[in-house]
Amino acid sequence: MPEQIDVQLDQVTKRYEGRTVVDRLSLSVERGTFLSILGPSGCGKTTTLRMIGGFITPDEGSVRIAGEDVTDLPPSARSTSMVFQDYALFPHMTVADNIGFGLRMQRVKRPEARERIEKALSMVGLAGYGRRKPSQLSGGQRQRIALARSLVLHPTILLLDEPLGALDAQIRKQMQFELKQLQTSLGQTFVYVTHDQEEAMTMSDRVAIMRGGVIEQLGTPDEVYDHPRTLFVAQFLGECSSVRGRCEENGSFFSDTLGRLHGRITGVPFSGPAVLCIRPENIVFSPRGAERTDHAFSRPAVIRQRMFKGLNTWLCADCCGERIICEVIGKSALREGDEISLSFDPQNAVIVPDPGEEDPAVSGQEVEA
Amino acid sequence: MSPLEPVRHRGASNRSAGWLLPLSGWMVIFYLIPLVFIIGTSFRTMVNYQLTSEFTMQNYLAIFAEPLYWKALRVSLLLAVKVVAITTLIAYPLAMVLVFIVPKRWRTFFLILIIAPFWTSYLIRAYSWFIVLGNNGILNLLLKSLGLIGQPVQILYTGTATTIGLVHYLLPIMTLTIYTTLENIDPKLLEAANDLGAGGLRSFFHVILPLSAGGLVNGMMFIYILAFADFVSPATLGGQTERVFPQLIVDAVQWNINWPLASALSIVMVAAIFLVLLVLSLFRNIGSRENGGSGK
Amino acid sequence: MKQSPKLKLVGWIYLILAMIFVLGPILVTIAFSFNLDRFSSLPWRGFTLQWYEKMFSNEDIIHSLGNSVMLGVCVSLTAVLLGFTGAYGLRHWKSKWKGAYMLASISPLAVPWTLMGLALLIFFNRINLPMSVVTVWISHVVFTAPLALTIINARMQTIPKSMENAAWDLGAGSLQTMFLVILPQTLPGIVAAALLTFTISFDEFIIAWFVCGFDQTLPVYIYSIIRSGVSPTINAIGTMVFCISITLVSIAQVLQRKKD
Repeated sequence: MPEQIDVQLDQVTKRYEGRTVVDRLSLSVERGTFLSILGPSGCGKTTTLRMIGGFITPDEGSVRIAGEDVTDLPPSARSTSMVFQDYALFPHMTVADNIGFGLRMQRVKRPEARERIEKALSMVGLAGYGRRKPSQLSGGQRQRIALARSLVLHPTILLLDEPLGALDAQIRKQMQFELKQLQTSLGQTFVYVTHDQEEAMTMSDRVAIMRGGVIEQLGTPDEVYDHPRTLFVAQFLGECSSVRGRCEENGSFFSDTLGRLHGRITGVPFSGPAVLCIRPENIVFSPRGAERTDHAFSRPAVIRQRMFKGLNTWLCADCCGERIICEVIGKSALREGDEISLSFDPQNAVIVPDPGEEDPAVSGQEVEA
Repeated sequence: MSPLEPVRHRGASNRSAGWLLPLSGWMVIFYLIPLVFIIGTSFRTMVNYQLTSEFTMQNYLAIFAEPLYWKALRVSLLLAVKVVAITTLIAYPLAMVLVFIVPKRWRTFFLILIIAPFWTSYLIRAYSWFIVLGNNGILNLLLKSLGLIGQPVQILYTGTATTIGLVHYLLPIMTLTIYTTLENIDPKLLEAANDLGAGGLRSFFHVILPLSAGGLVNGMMFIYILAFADFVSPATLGGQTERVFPQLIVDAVQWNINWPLASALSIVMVAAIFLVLLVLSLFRNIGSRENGGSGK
Repeated sequence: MKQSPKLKLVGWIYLILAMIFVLGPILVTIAFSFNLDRFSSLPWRGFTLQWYEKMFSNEDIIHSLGNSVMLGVCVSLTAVLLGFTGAYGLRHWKSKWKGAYMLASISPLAVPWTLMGLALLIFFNRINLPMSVVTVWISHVVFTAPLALTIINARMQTIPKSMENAAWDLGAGSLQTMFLVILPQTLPGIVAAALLTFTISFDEFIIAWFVCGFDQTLPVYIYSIIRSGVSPTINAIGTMVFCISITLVSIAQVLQRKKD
């Protein structure tokens, strides 16, 4: 079944008390895709997920699941299943009864139900836990039971609402890995909501970055990281240095501070105010006088701040009045006040339209990573 | 519902309001309507055990003209204020002991021992004081054997017995109310006060008392209503030596079978109760404003 | 906060004195219900169960006790039913009037019982409903249902909204969700409310006095005899009533304070 579309949102809008939470959003997800909806809190990502699940009816637009229009159907009549942030396991039931709840509602025969429950339990690696109560399980185990409870119903689409949010860092990493493995082996469509860009990047086939009720960019993790189309996307997905200036039709970039950049810069060429974004790992610092000759761009800079992060070190430099961050593997011999030379390959830099002063993304305040 | 049938679940919230119908219905029919009826009845008279249909102010005029009623109102008010004051003075330290001295694992045990009597028969509790306070009661025997008194002291069938009965009745609920507010005070605030050099008394007056003022006033209001409207303690322990206002209502129903007068009397009683509560709530507003100020 | 040992000692003494004040008279009544002496006073004349035999052979007592137990059961069932449906409705009712509704429905708890009793007496008379245990039942529900509502509502609020969404998502209808998901999780609150409302109805005197007619409940009967003074039989009744109440209320308190 090539290109079977499992989820299709068409011009979906939801308003609460006059505030538009989701604004004419369209989205389609192919079968077997792990899609993450990523964005800061209040961007409308959970509302979007809940509209797919049927917990919220959109004010406008339509929702299709596996080709069928389900806009007005309740969650129970949709072939979606949701894994909740707080797991929503029924505390008064055993693990097996929790997993079997959906089967019981579908009046699946006892022996078949028992078999499917066992299968679901072993699928999440918790065979033999059926008789326990949710309160006797750890956070990670509860998470897996919630997953099994949804998967046992063979839903077309599994919806996950920040399911790892309540776990601590270590188990979180492990669960990310397991979740991805499970999704790949089942070939199941996952729609995953999170505010953690690292989580979204690690697991997803495709990432939709949302802000203010609209999708700013949708693409593979590589695409959105390397070729962000807006400053918000560039900054939300990870640290990046930004320099304001102008872009010209031919693709070259000019800024008052750094001057003209020669060579092809990535990004759709346009003419107008623009911001140049460079990821820290793409910047190279070299001693004065030993500039990299293969880089088309090179400027003198002074180290202002040094942050040791364990695996690597971040160096914050002042380059012609611009604040540029560079990442160095391991420790760095450079110290505050050292005069160096800074260079990067223009191919590794991206230009995006300048959203203007009023845009919160520019200040970087809203998107603390 | 059939999956084929499109359902707008926006209506789900409205449908759920239907669950409120049984409770609402019961309350409207057996609570609101009777309250309307009693107000209506207070403007009627009774002739040959039948309610007349004409509107009259006669009952209210009779109440305001009769010194007996005024006296009973005064007696009730004084009794209620006395009971609230004594109960609060006993309950506050008791709640403080429970929160600040009794170890956590024992708290629920003592709390239940103190609160549980509130929910048990008030009559039986009033009656139990007969045995303690009577002329040959435990208390008099105890005092006599200690040589403190020669003759039995008359406590039963006096105002003192009424007060004791009421305080005993209301102490548990007052303790619970104060306990709940004290328990919610962040212990860090007290540590901070100590740290800033406030001694026990000063941290009590500047931290504990203002922070618990809301719960304290709520509890006082509640027991004030109960104390004012009670006739069990005065009629049994007090031996009807001083007639309280609720007793007049009972008399009007029991002996005179004058419902309109009884209705008017109970409305006057409720008005008197809430007039005082209004004054108290003004105090509470001042208290909470001080609270806000001290928080800055 | 740290206290000096002296302050602690004073605190404990105060607590014990308060316990003596609260529980002392009741314990004395219980003790004297087993005293051979006809007068409830010292010295102790010996142990007997005769007052209990006397109590159980008194037809008035047995009749009114029967009335009160039946009444308590009916009141408790009705109050819990109304309290549960009310709390469930409130949970799903999205309206700015919710707070006001809640306040209005608990207001019967603050109305003086003398007024409420009289109001109900006049009301029942006006609609020609003869005074009996039935009218007491109706009246008791008026102020026990709000209590049941508060207790059950407090419990129900601890259930996250996602529980219902999950059940809904797994294919349960709204009735199935209520019976299989919400009801079992609210059960401790429901039981606590049932015990407490039974006790209150079983012990309530003032309203019952107004509207019971010739169907005496136990408290109404007790009131009619205690004014004539102390008697060992009343001690026995008191002991029985107190033991029933304290047991039920203690269970209810424990259930309410228990988390999960």
